[in-house]
Amino acid sequence: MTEAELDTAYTHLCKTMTDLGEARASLFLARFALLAMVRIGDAGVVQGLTDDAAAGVAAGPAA
Amino acid sequence: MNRPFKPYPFTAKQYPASLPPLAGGVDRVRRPVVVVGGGPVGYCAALGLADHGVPVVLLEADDSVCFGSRAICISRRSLEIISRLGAADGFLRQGLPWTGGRSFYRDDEVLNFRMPMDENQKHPPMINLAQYSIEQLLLDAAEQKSDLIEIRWQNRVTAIDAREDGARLTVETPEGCYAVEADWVVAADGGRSFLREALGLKLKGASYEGRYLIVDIVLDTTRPVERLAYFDPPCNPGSTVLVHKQPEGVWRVDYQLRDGEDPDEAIKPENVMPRVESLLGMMGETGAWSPVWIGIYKANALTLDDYRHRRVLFAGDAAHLLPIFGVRGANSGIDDADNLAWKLALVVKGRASERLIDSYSAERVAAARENLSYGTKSTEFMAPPSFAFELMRKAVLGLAVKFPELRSLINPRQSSAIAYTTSPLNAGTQEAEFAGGPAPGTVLPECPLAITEGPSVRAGHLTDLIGPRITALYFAGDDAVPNELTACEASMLARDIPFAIVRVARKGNDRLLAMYDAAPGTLYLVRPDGHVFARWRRFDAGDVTRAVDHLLQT
Repeated sequence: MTEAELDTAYTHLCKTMTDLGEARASLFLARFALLAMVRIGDAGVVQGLTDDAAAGVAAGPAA
Repeated sequence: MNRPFKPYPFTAKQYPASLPPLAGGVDRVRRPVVVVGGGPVGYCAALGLADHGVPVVLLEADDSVCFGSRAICISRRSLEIISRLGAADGFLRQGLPWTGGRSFYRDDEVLNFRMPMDENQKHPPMINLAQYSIEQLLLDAAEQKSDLIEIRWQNRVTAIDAREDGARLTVETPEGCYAVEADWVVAADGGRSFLREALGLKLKGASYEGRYLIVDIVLDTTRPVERLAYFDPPCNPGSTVLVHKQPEGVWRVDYQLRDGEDPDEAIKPENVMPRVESLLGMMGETGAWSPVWIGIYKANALTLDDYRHRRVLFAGDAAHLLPIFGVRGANSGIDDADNLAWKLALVVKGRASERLIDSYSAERVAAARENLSYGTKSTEFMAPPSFAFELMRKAVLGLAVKFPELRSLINPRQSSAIAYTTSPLNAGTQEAEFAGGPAPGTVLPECPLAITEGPSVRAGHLTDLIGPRITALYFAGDDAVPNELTACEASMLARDIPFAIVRVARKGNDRLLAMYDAAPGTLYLVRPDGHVFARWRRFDAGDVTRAVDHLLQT
């Protein structure tokens, strides 16, 4: 994925989540995470990404 | 805590009102071009027209150059334009060049970006200079051309009658009211354009709710010039702060106001000073400082659909309002003026058809839309328009230290030259034969070269060769310029079309030849604004004449 493609994907995800509304955002992100897991298709990578995503989150303020 | 304000380190000269000789309350002379608005865009348009020998009357409502914190960043592309207009020396002498910047999230540095800067460049990617200095330097250049540029201070336009063949402007001055007839009007009267309102034209697009507070201070420090961005900084949790250095010890600090924060309260000095104090403390700045200016800013992403309304041509903020992030406001306006000046000049002089003016709107509206898309992306990051953008930004900033591949999302996407790839003026039929180099519509990429002038050879840059004319860049082998091309030049000059051949010798220009994918016999045709409009591996006189006629829409 190029920088421009990442940028476009990021904006598309933000706009999609905006349209769904804050109350449904967690479910949307959970579904996205599940789809990404099966598409990645590598248990070790998925586990590593889960740990990376969690690292530092507990230390910061809640969203 | 409160601090006394200091003035800007700049004293604006004040100019008296002036009235032209009148007949029955009307300027005795019908003017070919009247420019409304003495800002950077108006001055660049006037200077560009004067370079082509077209006389201009410039009407400015105030009695001096601007006051306060406005545009502060001038891009490399703008410097190229200002160079051609003969005003770059002062910009380079007074402005502070910079090449990059850093972004921080809380205590961590999450981005260190560099703008393109290589040994091919003549100018830095960006300089910082306050708008009052920008205007003063352009005004100085305009005063050098007082034979062609007449500046009328304290001349406020209060009505316009726009017709198919010209316009009549009603002008109020402290010395009395008058009218002036013009063949063409350049509306460079800024974001709150009177002419736009008077003609009932509407900007379209998005306005963002997020507000920024702008604070200029003078600060005693030796800190280098770079763009600094602080997300959620310890000194001001939840906020975003931008810091830019300007000449003469002035620093510009932009704060994002928090959701629900009352702008009227936030702008009060007693609320601003502690924020600046804590920011400077966090940055480790201990030198003396004083406030100079406090203002408020709201991001807009708006443009007119058409920059031509009969004989009125809109440019700069009068035509489009771009977000502050990425510094496209003044820079895109200077590009508007550069695009417009040569077209209008050739039409006024009867060398091109009026359709050339329509290409101004086509090219610059497309440029504005491209600028808006970049500016909108920057704004969505810098001032998130919804919970989702806010949440995702928080995720990016928190992960960027460990995952560098996410850092491009933080990059501020600074203004750069825009290619008119779909311009109706582009010509040439041998694109498939070029593997590189600037295609029609593209600005000439900068490159050092050896310029041969008679027996002598001097070192220069490619952009030095562009002037108020069509430039034919002929890449020679060991041969002279072919007779066919010199005959073309002669026939253009006989039609009073400004045209010049520049022979690029092979010797000493290897880098240029590679960059332009040029072989002996390659020809590039370049517009007066530095954009390529045709190129060939092999050409004949008919190709060149057809491309120029197409350019001039004759």
